[in-house]
Amino acid sequence: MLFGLPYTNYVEYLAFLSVAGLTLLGGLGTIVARRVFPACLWLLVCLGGVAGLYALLAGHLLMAVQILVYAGAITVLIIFAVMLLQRHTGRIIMAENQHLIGGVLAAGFMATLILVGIFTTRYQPLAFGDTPATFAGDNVKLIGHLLLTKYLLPFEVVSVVLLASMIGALVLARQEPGENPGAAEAPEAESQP
Amino acid sequence: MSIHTIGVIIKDWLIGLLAGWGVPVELSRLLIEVLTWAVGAALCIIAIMLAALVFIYLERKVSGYIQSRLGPTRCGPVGILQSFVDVIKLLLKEDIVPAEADRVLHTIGPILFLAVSALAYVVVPWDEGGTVAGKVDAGVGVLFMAAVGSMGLIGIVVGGWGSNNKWSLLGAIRGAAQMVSYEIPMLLALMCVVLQAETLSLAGIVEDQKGSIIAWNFLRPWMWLPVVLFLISGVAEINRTPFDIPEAESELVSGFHTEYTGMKFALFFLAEYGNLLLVALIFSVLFLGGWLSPFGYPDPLRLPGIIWLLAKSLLIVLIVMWVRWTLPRLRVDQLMGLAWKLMIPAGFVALGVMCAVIMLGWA
Amino acid sequence: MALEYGPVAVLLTFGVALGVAAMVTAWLLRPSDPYAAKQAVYECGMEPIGPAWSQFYARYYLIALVFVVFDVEAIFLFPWAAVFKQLSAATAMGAVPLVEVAVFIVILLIGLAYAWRKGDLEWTR
Repeated sequence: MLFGLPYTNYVEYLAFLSVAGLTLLGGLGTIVARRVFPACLWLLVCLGGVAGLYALLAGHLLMAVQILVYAGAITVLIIFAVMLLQRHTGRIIMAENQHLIGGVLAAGFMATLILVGIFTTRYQPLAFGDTPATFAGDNVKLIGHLLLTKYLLPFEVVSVVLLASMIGALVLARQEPGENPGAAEAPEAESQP
Repeated sequence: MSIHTIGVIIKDWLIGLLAGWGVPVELSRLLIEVLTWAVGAALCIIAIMLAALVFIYLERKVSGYIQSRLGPTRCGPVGILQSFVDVIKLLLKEDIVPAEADRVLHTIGPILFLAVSALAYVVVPWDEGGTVAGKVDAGVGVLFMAAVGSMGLIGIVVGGWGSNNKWSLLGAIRGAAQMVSYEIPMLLALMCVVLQAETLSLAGIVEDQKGSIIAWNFLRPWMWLPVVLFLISGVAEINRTPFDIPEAESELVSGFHTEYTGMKFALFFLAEYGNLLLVALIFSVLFLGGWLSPFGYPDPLRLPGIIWLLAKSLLIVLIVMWVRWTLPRLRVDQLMGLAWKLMIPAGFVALGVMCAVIMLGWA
Repeated sequence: MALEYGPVAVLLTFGVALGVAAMVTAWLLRPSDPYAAKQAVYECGMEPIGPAWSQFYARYYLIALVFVVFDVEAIFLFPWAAVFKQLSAATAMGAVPLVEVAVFIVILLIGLAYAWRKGDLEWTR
């Protein structure tokens, strides 16, 4: 005990501060990076930090999802998208915002909303050592059980949503040869494998 | 005596020692906890370094014998010191960075690749109760392994992009496409094992195979398709021939590490051999009973489980090397076709077979 | 508890430290003699034209798109896989868990079949 708190609490606070700091740093890096590819990597840092936050909350499955889907898959998707759309990902892009007033208004509105949310929520006090709910002694099994029983409809709807998003994205991304004006006028943009 | 028991004995001894110095028990427990993490993490790093040292020599010898030559013979008896000489050579090599490269990303690439590759080692069950991060494994072991495993490609892409070389970037992007494509069949194969063992924990998957060799997953006929899928996608995930598209010496010079020399190049290789050991370890855990002895549980020979695990892994490593020096590299379109048109449908078939077996009550 | 991930954090630090230490050691030991020709980008002896950071083939993007969908699907299936044996053994449920998941998978396989049929899985055309 140190100042009336168990020592492990200090380790947790330290871990939280570093992970939260990493998340903020990644977010900040994403918006101030002056080239597209490094901005993607800063986003990766941010997403990794969020995975760390889930880990601190003992959300094992969410942590794995965050890394597997966001840090692993979505980042690769974004990198590929950037390389598909940008003729020169190393080019320094403008970091200044042309819509300063609108941006400040939107950000201010969002910040107010989040702050109001944080300060008006009634938090359930959670004792240290509280363990997650389980089914057959396992948190992930509980999620699997709930997906097949209580949340069956959302579970099935998710597959339809995934199908729709996949087909939609494929239709949008599919380019007939010669239909892409960007590639036609750029002789240096070849890179056909 | 298992690793776990030895750990408990050492912990108790340390707590007694610290209590003798007047340290509160609660604080010493925390300190020992942190020390355990550090020891576990250090063991993972040591495992990777040893893997690299042993496998580089082994790879050269194996390739030598497969191609009817001797392999290294000069450094030490039968060339056994070859790996150490390689390390010294790589340490003394000049570090060349292209003038137009992004110096920061060029440096971060190999470090990121190595650091991320090491992470999956925390969930490997070396022995009964001998997992470095046992609670992470108990929570989502298999998924954690797959998740951090999928992050390795970021290191490759960072290195390839940071080099500002067309070969490097092409290799890196092809590698990324390959690694994401083969991740799906790997996840499907893992899912079949999870269905069988009813747990995501790698330690739990070993527990499920408890018994002699006939209880292991690879002897269950409905596991044969997942075995093949996991082996192929595992080899593809670690970018070894016939799936070494990111390197592809004959078409892309040497792919994502064209512009790498000396220690940065060595770090990429360290991580690649670490990944090779990891895939072999995971394969042994999933299908070959992990640390279990083939003669039954408890082991009649009384050998530590880690010996059995390493022996099985070495067998897998040799098979992977045999494949590497036998088969030619696939073309990019063949590679993608194999993943999307053969392995992913096969993965769903394997899943269906597994479900049927469970519904029939055979599993 | 949060401290479960202690070894992961320590290992991440150690991995980075190993990389940095190896590079620093090499930096102390190695020679350094850079000149323009050595620092040129290697392109088999040709002068490189333009930077490598150029536009890429659209096919990579399509593959990544399909991958994301199947990745998310796999994530949804893992909790089911962990509990399926138990649920199907419970006689009250019968074949219901199997049918539920079969519907989920078949809907996604329609997507795969669509991408296949429309040639999105072909690398060259």
